[in-house]
This record gives sequence, C-alpha cells and structure tokens, in this order.
Amino acid sequence: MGSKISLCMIVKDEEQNLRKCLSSVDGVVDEIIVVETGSTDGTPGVAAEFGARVLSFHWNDNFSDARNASLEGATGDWILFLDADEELTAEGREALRRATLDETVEGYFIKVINYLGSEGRVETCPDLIFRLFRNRPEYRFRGAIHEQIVDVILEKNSRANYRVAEDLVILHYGYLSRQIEEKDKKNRNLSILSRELAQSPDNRLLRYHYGVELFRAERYREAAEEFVRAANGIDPQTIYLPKLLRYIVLTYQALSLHEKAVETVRLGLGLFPDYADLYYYGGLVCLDQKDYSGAYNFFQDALSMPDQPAYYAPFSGSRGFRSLYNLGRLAEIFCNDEEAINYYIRSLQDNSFFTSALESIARLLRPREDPEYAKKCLEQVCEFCTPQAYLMMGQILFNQSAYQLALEYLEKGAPGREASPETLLWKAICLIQQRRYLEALRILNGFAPGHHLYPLATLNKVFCFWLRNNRRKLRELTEDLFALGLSAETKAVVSLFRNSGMKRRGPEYNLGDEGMSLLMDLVMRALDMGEIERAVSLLNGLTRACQRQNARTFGKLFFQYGYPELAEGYFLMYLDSDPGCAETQFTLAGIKEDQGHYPEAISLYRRALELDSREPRHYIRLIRLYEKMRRELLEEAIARYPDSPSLNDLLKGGPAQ
Amino acid sequence: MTKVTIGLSMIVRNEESNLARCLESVRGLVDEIVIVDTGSSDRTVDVARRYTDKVFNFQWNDDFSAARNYALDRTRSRWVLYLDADEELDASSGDIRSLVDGEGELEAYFLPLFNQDDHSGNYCRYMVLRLFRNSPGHRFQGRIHEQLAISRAGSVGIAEDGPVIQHRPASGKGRNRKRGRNLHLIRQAVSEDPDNPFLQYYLGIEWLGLGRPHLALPCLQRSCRDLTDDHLLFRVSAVRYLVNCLNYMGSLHEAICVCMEESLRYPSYSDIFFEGGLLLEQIGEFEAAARWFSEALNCGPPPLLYRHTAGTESFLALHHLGHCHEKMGMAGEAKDYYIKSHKSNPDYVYPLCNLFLIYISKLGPSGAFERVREEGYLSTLRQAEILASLFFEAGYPGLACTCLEEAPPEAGVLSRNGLAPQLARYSIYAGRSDKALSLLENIAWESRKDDPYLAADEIVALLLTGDYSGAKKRALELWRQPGLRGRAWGLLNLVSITGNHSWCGYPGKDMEPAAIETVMAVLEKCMRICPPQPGGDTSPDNRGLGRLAQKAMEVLTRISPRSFKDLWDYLGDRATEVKQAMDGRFTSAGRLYQ
Repeated sequence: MGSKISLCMIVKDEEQNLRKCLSSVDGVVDEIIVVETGSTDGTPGVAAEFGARVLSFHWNDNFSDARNASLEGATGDWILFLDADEELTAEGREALRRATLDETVEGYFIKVINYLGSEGRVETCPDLIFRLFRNRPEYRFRGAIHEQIVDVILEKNSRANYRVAEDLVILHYGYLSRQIEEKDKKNRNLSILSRELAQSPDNRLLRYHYGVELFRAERYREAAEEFVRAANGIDPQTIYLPKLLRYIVLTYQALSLHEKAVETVRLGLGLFPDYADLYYYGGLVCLDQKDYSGAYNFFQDALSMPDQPAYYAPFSGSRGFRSLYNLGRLAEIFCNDEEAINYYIRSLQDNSFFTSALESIARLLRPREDPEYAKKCLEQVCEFCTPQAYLMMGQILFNQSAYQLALEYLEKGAPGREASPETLLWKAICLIQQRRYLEALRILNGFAPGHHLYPLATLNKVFCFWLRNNRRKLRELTEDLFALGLSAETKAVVSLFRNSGMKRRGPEYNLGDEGMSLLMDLVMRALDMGEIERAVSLLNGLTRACQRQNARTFGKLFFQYGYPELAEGYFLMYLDSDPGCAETQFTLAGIKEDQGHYPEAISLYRRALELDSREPRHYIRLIRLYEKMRRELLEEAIARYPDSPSLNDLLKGGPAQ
Repeated sequence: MTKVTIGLSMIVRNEESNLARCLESVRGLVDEIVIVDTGSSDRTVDVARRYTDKVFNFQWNDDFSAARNYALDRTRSRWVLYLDADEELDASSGDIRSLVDGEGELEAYFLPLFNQDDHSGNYCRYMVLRLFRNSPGHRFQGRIHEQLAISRAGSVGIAEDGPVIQHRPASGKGRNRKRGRNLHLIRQAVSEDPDNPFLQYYLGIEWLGLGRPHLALPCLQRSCRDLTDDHLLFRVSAVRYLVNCLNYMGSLHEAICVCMEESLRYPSYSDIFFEGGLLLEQIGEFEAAARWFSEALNCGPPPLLYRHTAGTESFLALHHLGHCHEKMGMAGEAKDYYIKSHKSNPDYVYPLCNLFLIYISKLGPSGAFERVREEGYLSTLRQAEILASLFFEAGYPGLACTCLEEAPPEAGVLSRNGLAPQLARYSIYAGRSDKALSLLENIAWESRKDDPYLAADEIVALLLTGDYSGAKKRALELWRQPGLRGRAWGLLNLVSITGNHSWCGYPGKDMEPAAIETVMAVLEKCMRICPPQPGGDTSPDNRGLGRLAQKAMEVLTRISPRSFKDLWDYLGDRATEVKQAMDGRFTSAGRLYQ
C-alpha cells in the first residue's frame, strides 16, 4: 500500500504554533519537510523534535520559491501543505489517508476553518483551499505571495481531476486578532504583492489578494479600487468570485458608500442567489441606513438560504444566529419587544456562545426594575451548569445596572473572596448599591496601593463615604487619590464629590467625554439608590455650559430612573441648543404621555416624526397614543351613556376597527 | 368728415342684476344703445331705460336670430357692436373707435372674449364676431347660436389691439337654467338640419354641460370630422370639447390619441399640448407628460383665432412641469418650475402651495419661512395671506403671524385690517392671545357680533388668558342670535368645562350638530399646537392649548354618543393617517409591527 504523504511547510518564528500543528499530523504523514526562512526563536528545534527535515532557505520575498524549495525535498507520492498556525482535525487524519488512496484524483480542495475574532468571542469562517496534490516534478508553485499551484497542474495535465476532500478539515487560527497583531505580516505582504502586481498587472487573482491585504490594513479606498479592477469582466465561474464580491460589499460598507454596497449585493445575488453572506451584509448596510424594510427582507432571506457551498467561504451565523440577532434588533426598533426576545432566543439556540443576543435578552427583561421576573425568565432561557455561566450572567447584569441580581449571579459563579479582582470589585459595587457598605468596604480595603484596580476601588470608597456623609474620610481618601496622579478629568470628578453639598462652592467644573462618562456612571448609581438630591447636587457642580451640552444625557438618566419632571427640565435645556433633535422630542413626548398631557405628547411625537421619518417608533408610539386616547375616552363615554348601542358597538369592535 | 357711429345692440331677458354693469362698460364708447327685451319678469326694462330710450319689446318665438335681427333692424349706427348682458366691454386694451374710424375694406371684426373660469383668475380666450357694419345683408341665421352671415370672404378682421369682451362666470343655477332652454332649441334645429357641423358642435357642448358625455361624444366627433380649418375657431373648440368629453368618460387613452393627431395638425397650438400633458399626467406617465408640457411652453401664445386657455403656454404648463418632476423624484427641478410658474403670473397662487410643501419638507418650518421671505413671496399681501394660511395649516401659527406682519404696509391700511381676523386667529394659536384680543377689539362690534367663527376665536383667546367670565359673556351674546344657538351652546359648554362651571345640559337635537361642529373646530385647531421650533417661530402656549384640547374632548365625550362618535372618528382618522404613512415606508417589514 504505497501512498506516501509528505507534509511541506515554510516557517519563520513559529515556535509556539508549530508544536500544535505538527502534533496534529504526527503519525499520519510519512515525512515532514520544513523550509525555515530565518527564525530567531526555537522553531528549528521544535521541527526537529517531530523528525522534520529542516531546510534553510534564504528569504527572497517570494513564497513560491520557498514552497518549491520544500517540494524539491519531498519524496512522498502526495504533498500536503500546512501553515504553522493550522492543524488537522482528529477526524481529518483518517480522511487524509483515504483521500490519497483514490487513484483518479490529482489534487484536493480542503476545507479550512478560519478562526476569527478575539478570544472571548470566536467565530469561524470556512474556506476551500487547494492543499493536497500528487508530487510530480513539473508541479511547482507560481506567484510571490498567495502562491498558486492549481492552475499550474492543469496546464501540465489538462485531464487532472480535482475533488473536494469532504471530511478533511484544517483549522486555521492565523486570523485570530491577537495573532494577527503579533505579526507584521500585513505590511510584508503588501509590499511583496504590490511589487509582483507591477510585473503582472493583468493577474486578477493577484489583484484580489492585494485588495484583501489592503482591506486588512484598513486602507479601504485603495482596496475598493483593486477589488473593482479584479472583478471587472471576471469569468462568473471564477472560484473566488463570491469572496471577492463579499469583500467589495465590506469595503464599501467600511467607506460608508452604502448605495454602492447595496448595489454590489444585488449584483452578487444575481450571480449567486443563494449566497447568505450577501443577504446578511445587505441587511447590515440597510440597517445602518435606517432602511428597515430593506434590512428586514435581507435578514429574512439570509435565514432561508440552503447549506452554503464551501467556495462561498461562508461566514458563520449569516444563515442563523447573526441574522436572527439583527432581526431581534429590528423588532426592537419597531417597538415589538416580544418578537425581539423570540429572535434573540432563536439566535442563542443557534449559537449558545453568542453573548450579544444574551445581553439583549437580559436588557429587555428589565432586570433592574423587576429582578425576580428577570431571573425567572433567564433561568428558562439559559442552562447554568458551570460557574463561568453564572459569572458571565453576573457580568451582563452588572452592565445592565441590575446590581441586586448581578450580585446573586456573581456570588454563585465565584463565592466569597475566591473571585478574580475584577469580579471582587463588581461585587463591592453591587454591595454598595444595596447599601451594604461594611461588606463592600471590606472587599475594597483588600486592594493594595500598587494594584491596577486600586484607584477604582478607592473611588468607590469615596462614593461610599460620600453617601454616608463622612466628610473626614471623604477628604482623606480624595487626598489619597490625588496623590496617585490622576488625569485632569478624573481629578475633576473626584473634586465634584469632595465639594458636593458644601456650603462654600468649589470652582465649577467642565468635563470632557472621559470625565463625563465616569461621572454619569456614578450619578446613575446614586439615582439607582434613590439619592436624587445628591445626584442633582453633583451635576450642579458643573459649569452651565457643560450642563447644557450634556443635558440630553442627564435627561435620559433621570427619565430612566423615574424622575420625569427633572428629566423634562434637562431635555428642554438641551432643546435650546439643538431644537432639531428628534430623539429628545420623542422622549419628551413619552414624558408628556405619562403625565397624561396627551395633546402635547401628540404634538411632540409629530414633531419627532417630522424631524426623522425613518424611525418606526415615531409612528408607532403616536398611533398607540391615539388608540389609547380612544379607549380611555370610550370608557368615559360608556360610563355616561351605558345603554348607548352605538358606544357598545365601538367597545366590541375595539379601537383597531 | 362725419363721425362713424357705433351702436350697441342687445337682446335681454331677466338680466336686472347684470345689465347695468354691461351698459356702464360702454358708456361714452358707443353712440347708440338698442335693447330688445324678450319678456323679462324682473326690472330689466327699468334698468335699460336708465341708459337709453331705445328699448323694445319682442315676443319670444324660440328663435335667437329673429330676436337679434329685430334689434338690428332698429339700430341706426354705421357699425354694430353686440354684447350679452353678462359681458362687459373692456376698452383698456384698445380703442374700439380706432377699429372703425379708418372705414377700410373690412366688413366685420373678431373681438377676443375672455371667459372667466372661476374666481381663481383663470380664463379662457376665444374670438367672437361682435363688431360689424350695419348693412341689410348682415343678418343673423340659426335659431340658436345664431351666426352672422358675412357674405364677402376675407372681409373679416381680427382686432388684435382692440377692446376685449369680459365674460363673467354665471352661477351654477343660472347656467343650468339656460342649458335646459338651449337643449330644446338645438335639438329642434338639428332635426331640421342634421348634417350641420355647427349644430352638432353646439349639441355636443350642451350634452357635455348636462353631464351626458356619451350623448355628447358622437356630436363632437362629427363636428370635428366635418368642420374644416376655414372655421378654425369652431374646429379647434370642437377638438377641445372632444378631449374633455373623452376624459370625462374615462377614455384617457383615446383622448391622448386625439391630442396626438391634432397636435400634428396644429403644431404650435399650446393648448392641445397642454391637454395632452394633463392626460398623460393622469395615467401616471410623468416623463411623457413633462415632454408635452415643455412643448406647450415652446409653442408660446397661439394666434388669436385659436380658443386659448390663458397660461397653457406659460404658468399652467410650468406648474404641471413642476408637478411631473416632483413625481419623478426631481424636487430641485420641480422647485424651479414652480418658481417660474408663479413668477410668470403672480396672480396664479397654486405653485406657492407646492413650493411651500417642498420647502417645508426640505428646510423645516423656519428654513421654509426664511426661503419664502428671501424669494420675496411676502412682498405682496395676497401671497403673504396664502403663505400664512399654509403655515397655519401645517401647524406653525407663529410663522403664520410673521407672514402677515411682514406683509408690506404700502398694500394699504384697509387691506391690512381686512386680515385682522386671520392674524388674530394665528396669534391665538401662537400663544399670543392678548394680541389676538386687541386685534379683535379693533374690528367693529357690528361686523363681528354675529360671526360665529370670530366669536369662537375670541372665546378661545379669552379661555387661554383665563378670563372665563369674559368667555362666558361672549358666548351668551352669541346665544342671542337664534340661528347661532347651537354654536353658542357648544362654546358655552366648553367654557363651563374649562372653568369648572356647571354643565349646560343637552341642547336638543336641532342644536346638536352645530354644537358638535363648533367644539370639533376648536379641538382641531388646538391639536395643531407645536413644540418649540428650531429658530424663528415663537413657542406657543402648549400647556394652555393642550389643556383646552383636552377640555374640548371632554365636551365631545359628554354631549351625546353621537358627538363622541365624531371624536372617536377624528382620533381614528389621525391614527390611520400615521398608519398609512408608516405602511408606505415600511411595507415589507409590516410583520414586525402589525
């Protein structure tokens, strides 16, 4: 049974990855040839550990030359190429053997699953790449980067038969952002590609790859140009065309050329009407543009797509959790929270690690206002079988300012002092919000001066003593904080606390974004505790101009925490400087509606609608208000004329008619 | 040289209300007036005698020509001018005497007749043969739509710079009375002379006027076919009536075909292109319609012999060009056309409404205001008045006030004061009730005492200033007018509910409708309150207006189940408007909110 497999690789400074890679093929391949292009770490040693033949190669900015050097050294019947940041799946080992036994095949496309994103939230994206082929001397790579051999083999042997190796899967971690950051691959690739492109300007594939590198380098304008040039007049059969089209859409989206993005989506769907990613990105672009009708259609279509062929390199979730999540967002935009929760739950069912959906569910359950109900619902949605799950939920709830419930989950996830410093700080904050100051201070006192969370811990102590009116401690702690050398903004916030409530006013402060977001968090926590006067006194320490500038944020906060009159004052202050703000008019309308001033509420809703007619809630709330008025007035009328048949007919017909 | 005399020759019946104006218009222009009365039962003859002693009686015998010729027989002057009682001679555009003084070769003149369509200032112009030498050969023929027989061809001139005849629009009632009479006579005439294309033409017009287009159609088709361009005046008219008739019947495509054919025959006749444009616009072919309107513009005014609706070659075509471009999504071009249209005829105010809508949607209220001011639309009182009402209807009472206040003082104190009621109303809803009240006080009590609308405004203003007893007093004054008690009752209850006084009780079925209507009107205006605007507009007294709106709703809920139903429908209609707007925008996402 002679089907010998040679694994060929080119590597540089891959000590960390290489071991993982070689372990995955250990015992499956018959020889390993590693072309080493000048590592400064222990790469050659690792290779040697696995019995690899290590060939030293002087790097000449040409991947093909390096790959061909490895081919020269290979003696097997088949060549398998892997990059150091790739590995073979366990199932793939057997599949690899099987594949090389098929006499009729000259080469295989192999499914490569790319891991994307940062570690906390990993997403996958499969692709189909030519990696396994018969070892013949005339089969050699071409192209300085994104080296190709598929077309070379076809040139040499026009009857060569290619297949997709179904169960053979390679996992590729190279796109994980941390690893991308580790390397300065981008610039290296770009310079090589542009040089090569200058030599063969008609090479579409090269141009496509060049575009991809420009895209990764966030040079979108140039990327768009290269992509469009690569796509112009392309043969629709070209294997990478779907990917190219998706890149064009992404590039236009990045450039905010929304119309062009949608145009490309439609063009692409003309060629590949079952391409889920295009629908998905079309939906995102429409959502950005507030074209909610269009977005809805795109996401629904994305969901209805069949299994995607591997050459689409489908992005995970386009047909599932991602589109479902965005449909949930749309449902929220249309004031339909129930439907939104349904979509978010379906999204989670499709991918239980997709935390965005979970966060949205948690938010919609209003865990701060109604912790018991939220808890009941969350237990139905999620299975909490690990401490991590509890911790994660605790963190989500903490971010939703639902401190009571957050504390409960954080305790379950990491009881007592066993938690990480971050978790401990969160717990302390939750305790403060429950007015359990002593327990909170016990935790906060555990942070020693050199600790990176020490300033935050101390600030929370300041918050504690400020709430308890302990001026002496407040002064001490603030001195302590000042001594740490805080930024001017943070210092101003601390001073606000120090001076608040004092008869002799300190200077009035003017905060920028950084200080304001810190202050807002603390003001919000004061409001959460019902400390309305304290909250207002803090804000009164700001200059008039600063208050005016941030009045909308204040208004929202006060409204959210149930102080509509104060909120109204801030909103009116804000409208003075920005009367065309539809959102503020809309929120004001809600306040008026709650207060029972319906005609005023109507005029405000109508104004909001006039200012922004793309927002569905502007219509929906207005319609609902009219219907509410009808219902209420009908009740009054019926109370006065209980026997009127016409009124009773209206009652039966319902306000919707 | 002896003076060439002109005699006015008329036949009249029951024209006491029109005749004097007609005769005044020729005072000093004619040397003789001959009036033949065909059996008036009113004071027509008395009016006639004030102007002439040549007033005769003629026994009506269903024959217009006979009557007219009777009058001609009694006219002594060298030339005869004939007018109908609802017409006036307008010599401001030309002197009638200069037409006849030369005594050239001509036997007769066509004079332009301007037919006022309505009160919008639109008119239609066509030529009529009304001035001719008084010779025995020139006598009328035909029992109805009598025509003057001029035997010598080429001897009829067109009075290009002569006087024009202005025809006043008849009231609908008067028009129908005449129609019934005419139809009878024409049908009789047609039965005697069935192939006469003129009679077919007149019969078609009568049927059309009576709302029977199916009967009109064959007549008009025959007259179009049989009339030649020797009678251009008639043929062109017949074509236009034919187009109207087909349009009326809903045969738009056939009507378009007629326009296309006739536009080839009369390639510089703006009206035919304009009509074609209108038809294309109706079937939603805005691009094609725009081409036709442009062609109408290119034509320029048609020669005098063509029946012509003023503006088809200018402001009307421009207005419709604007509309078509708006429909094609080209708001910028649309705007330019509207501006041109209004500029080419400042009396034609409709483009102002379109412009207003474009400005308000693009620039917002204060931006729109700035723009109309920059473009000088507030420089005449009429425009300012229209814009003010547009701003008010759109919910910007403050800007409505400013429009009126900025109107030029030179337009005359009188006319400024004439707008006081409007300014008062806008002021109320702009939160300046005090000002409104002082404006109203300046209007003579006699003229506002019994005006229920002014009274309602005044009461609203009083309520907003908290003067409940004043409001009540005003409502009671209205109550003294027996015809206005329903309205007064509605307002009284509004005052009572607002001031926490006692309810007045059910007014009775007779008064109920007026009461409901009055309170409803107050509600609708109060509901137009607006939140503070960016820039310009002052902030109205929202709380007061909102409160009053709520009180008005309370009254409507209380009067009767019927009044509540009106309120219910009003709120339902508002909700439906919003729903429709929403459905229009979010069609396919409907499942998310329905």
